[in-house]
Amino acid sequence: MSKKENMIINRHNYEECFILYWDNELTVSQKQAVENFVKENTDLQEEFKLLGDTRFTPDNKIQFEEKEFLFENSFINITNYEEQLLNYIDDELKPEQRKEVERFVDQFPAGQKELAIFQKTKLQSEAEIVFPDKSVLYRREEKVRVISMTWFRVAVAAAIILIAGFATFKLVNTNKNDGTPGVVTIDKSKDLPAETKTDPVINSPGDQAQKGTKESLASANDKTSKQAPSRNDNKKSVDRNEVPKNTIAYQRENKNNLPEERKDADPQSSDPIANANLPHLQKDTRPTQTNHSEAINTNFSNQDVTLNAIPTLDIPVTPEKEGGGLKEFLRKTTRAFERRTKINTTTEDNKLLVGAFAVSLK
Amino acid sequence: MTEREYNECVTTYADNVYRFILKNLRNEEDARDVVQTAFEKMWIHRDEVDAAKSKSYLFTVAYRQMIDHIRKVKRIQLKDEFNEGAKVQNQPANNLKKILDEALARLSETQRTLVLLKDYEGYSYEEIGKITNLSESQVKVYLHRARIQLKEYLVKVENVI
Repeated sequence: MSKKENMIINRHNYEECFILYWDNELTVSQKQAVENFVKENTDLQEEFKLLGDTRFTPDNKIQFEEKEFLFENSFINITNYEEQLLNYIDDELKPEQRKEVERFVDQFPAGQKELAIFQKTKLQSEAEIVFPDKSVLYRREEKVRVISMTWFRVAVAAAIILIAGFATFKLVNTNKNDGTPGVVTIDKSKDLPAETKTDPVINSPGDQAQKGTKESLASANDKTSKQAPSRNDNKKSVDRNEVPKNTIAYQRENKNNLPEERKDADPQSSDPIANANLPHLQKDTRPTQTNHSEAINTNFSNQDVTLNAIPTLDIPVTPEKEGGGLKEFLRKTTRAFERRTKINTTTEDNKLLVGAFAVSLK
Repeated sequence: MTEREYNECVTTYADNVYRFILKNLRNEEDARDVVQTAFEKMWIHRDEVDAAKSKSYLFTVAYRQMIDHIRKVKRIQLKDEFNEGAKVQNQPANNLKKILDEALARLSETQRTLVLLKDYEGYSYEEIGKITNLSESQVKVYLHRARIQLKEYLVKVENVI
């Protein structure tokens, strides 16, 4: 520049000086020297202006519209656009932010290309993959099953109780039928040995059948029909002895109940009572309730029934309900148990005893 | 959660969970076991599960179950991955889905899980964080890295083709 200051403008170097002038590369004094030279040389004035017109001036109309994309603190800019593109494809942006990203991408082709590749990385849900057997996953509340099982158990328990009760009832009835005549025969054998002729009448048809078979066997063995009656008599006596052996327990109880009551009721004459009771007891083989009712009637008719006798004769509460409902049957069974075992079916706190058994050791 | 709601959950989400687990484990039998166990746990704890959040609960349980499973068989898993990588080098895939599957297989377990939860189920970063026990920002960072990895793999393979 110092050279230029010393430089003298002339017709040989004016062009360079004019360019330097318009490029604003000259000092104020140099510029003044160039302007003086142009005034002195009028033929060079046009060339000086032409060089001056070659300069470009900025067009203020042209403006950068997306200046915000360049700001460092803007939502999406040239430094953070990748992250925003990822947020965009992850659908983590608000609607207005999405629009911003779309605007940015429109403005910057590089961003658009990148977004397209990111979108390719997005996995598509594969609907063809399904869980093979959903039935193993479905469940049901166990409560339902518990209820059904409970009902089932209750039903089984009820069935067992019913069967056991029925069997016991039958057993008790059978024993009654076997035992009652035995008591009578024993009483009679003690009191009236002559009346043993009534035994065939008292004995049940089953016994007669047994005797019949025994007779036939005896006749087959001895082949003498005349000897048979005597043997029958012996067998009758044996039968009489056998029956009490089978029904010892019942005899004792019957003795406690029936005969003693009758003795108390009619101490004067046992025979008429025995005779009077015989028909009832003979009928006892089947309809027990009616027999008891008749026994009660008989006792009431005698009007000598003691208070002790009443509990032993309380079985037939409603005789006309014979063959009635299950309730009646269960009640009878329960009473039979209570009477035989002397055990209450309910505890003191009114709890029902189920499955209580009493075994007589005697 | 009632019995009915549970069974509806089975109908609606069993396939989704199975898909998610299968894509991670790449073994049908293991995936089935994990899903079955997840539903079993949900059934056991049904009283504590809010029916409205049953899907998230299910995915959370299944994810944890899957992590336990992966830990148990980690050696085998790594071996499989290595072999698969070798295959890719020998036989470049031809279609985008296949390439993507291969790219997905190359991601870490966590990254794969995050991508699947995001792309398959459309969960938000926050929801994914709850399922995977990560913070929202962690999810964001891991997921973005995963996506960039996927992109780079795609570009690389496409250039090769």
